[in-house]
Amino acid sequence: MWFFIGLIVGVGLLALIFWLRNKQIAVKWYEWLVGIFGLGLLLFMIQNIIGSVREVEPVAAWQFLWLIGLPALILLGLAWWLPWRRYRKKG
Amino acid sequence: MYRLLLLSQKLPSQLSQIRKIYSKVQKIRKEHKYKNQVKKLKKHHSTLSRRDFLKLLGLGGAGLGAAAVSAPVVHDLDELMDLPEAAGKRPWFVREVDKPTCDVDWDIMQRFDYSEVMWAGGLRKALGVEEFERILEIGRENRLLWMQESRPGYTLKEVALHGANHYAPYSFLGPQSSPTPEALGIPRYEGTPEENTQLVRAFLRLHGASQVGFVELDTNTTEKFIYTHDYISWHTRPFGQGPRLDILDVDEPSEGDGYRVIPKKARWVIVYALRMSDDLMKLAPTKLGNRAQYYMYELKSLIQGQLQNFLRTLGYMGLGEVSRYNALGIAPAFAVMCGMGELSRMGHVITPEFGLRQRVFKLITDMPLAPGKPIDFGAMNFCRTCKKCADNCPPQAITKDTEPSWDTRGKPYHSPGVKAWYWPQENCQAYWRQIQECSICYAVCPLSKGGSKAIYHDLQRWATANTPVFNRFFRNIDDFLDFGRRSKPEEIEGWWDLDLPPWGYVD
Repeated sequence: MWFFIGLIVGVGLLALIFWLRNKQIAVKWYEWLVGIFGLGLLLFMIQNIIGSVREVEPVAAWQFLWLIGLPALILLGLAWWLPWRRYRKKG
Repeated sequence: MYRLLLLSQKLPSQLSQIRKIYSKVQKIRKEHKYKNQVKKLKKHHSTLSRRDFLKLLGLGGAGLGAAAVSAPVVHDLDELMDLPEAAGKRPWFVREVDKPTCDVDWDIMQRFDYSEVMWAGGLRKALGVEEFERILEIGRENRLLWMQESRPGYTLKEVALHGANHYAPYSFLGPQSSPTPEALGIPRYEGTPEENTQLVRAFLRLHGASQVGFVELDTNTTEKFIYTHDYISWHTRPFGQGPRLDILDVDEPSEGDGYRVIPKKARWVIVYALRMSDDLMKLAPTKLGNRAQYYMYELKSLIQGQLQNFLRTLGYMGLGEVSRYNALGIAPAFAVMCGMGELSRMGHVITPEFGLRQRVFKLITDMPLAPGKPIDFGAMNFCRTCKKCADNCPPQAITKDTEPSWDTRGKPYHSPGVKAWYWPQENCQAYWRQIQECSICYAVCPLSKGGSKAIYHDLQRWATANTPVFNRFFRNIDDFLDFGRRSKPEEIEGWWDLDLPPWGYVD
């Protein structure tokens, strides 16, 4: 399963980089950092949910979903929104 | 024409040569594949799980039962010692230390009489015979009533599960059914203490032990963990003392009416733990939770005899526990000294791998062994802050004092000389006897996460091992994530529908 997740993340990142270049959207270093941190949290959440289900801990699985998933989504959204806002202003 | 004739004559012998070479290549490939698997496991696993081990042995599907586990695939003792589990590697966050994390005053400590133990005569002494018998009667009534009203965890099927227990014969001197080196006409096995340690560890892991450790007996220190009087059943009426355990300068061990002799030359204690099923343990206190513990006692009765036979054929003695449960010496003390784990708030050993969820047993031998060193993975510090076991204890038996103490509170069932969290064990025992089983503390402990599939547990263990700063946070998050005990009726009854791996181990 982690092979496919790695594959999807890798292909997704590559596609994102190509798309950013194509659109000439500049991404600051700290925006990359926020994005990578958000992605890390998302993967951490997925692992813990799967792990908790396998440990027969359904409540923990749900709690992980919002406890880690929410900050992960906020960080990923921020990493997306900051360069997009600059691009819109510029355009 | 002549060449063709010559070739046709040579052909059968060449074909057989090719066949021989082919079978040699196949054999080498097989060996190479096996070695690669071992290498792979050595590389990726700091400790080897049962399932990985069975996979390695090609027994993954067979998985159940000690007989399946003991199926020999290794060809000699060297191969046995080469197996990854013989190395006994610990998780990366565990540190070896010179002294145990709990303070010990060896001058105060003296050998202790088993009959004082709460599981033996302790409760009877603390409550008085009349009250003791009344508590037992309540327990008997509860058992009958709860079964009749089909209380979750106490229905007939759970009572049947509990009643499925079956023990192998166990004894001080062992079954003595394996040949000795003298009978085989060969000298006994001789190895360095390190080699012997690896050998015994590999043997025990092969037969189901989750952890193995070794303690060297020293008259002024570790020998004090050996009971003055051995196990006696609490059923015994009138209650007295178990057989005396004499440590004497003799060549052979012996036992007789009221005594057992441990030769002074038997200086090493093999300490081994059997891991309990996590999902059963979470269902404490029920007959299901109870089964998680008792099954390990049954397994121990089998393993002890096997180990005694193994040592006998190698040319050494193995002096076992004459009890289904606990005998010979103080189990948590040996487990702490050999580096299996740290002392917990409840006085039991807490290990980095499985927390409280294992049972510890021991066996004395004259085979020289390399003793282990105590470890520190932050467990005692965690117990200082956490107190989840004390908060969840229905009879309020476990103390909530933050700091451990030398004060045994004048209770004869406490062995003095250790700075520990001494607590009124009669409260625990009286409750236990009334409801037939408890172990809620085992179920709720935040460090007891045997089947840790979620990375969160590793993060917690790493943080706990390195700093006490986050201990309060991890206790709270453990509550928030609802880890631990399962007490809803649907959770108890749902256990039968869980499609669990062999032995109920989640990993």
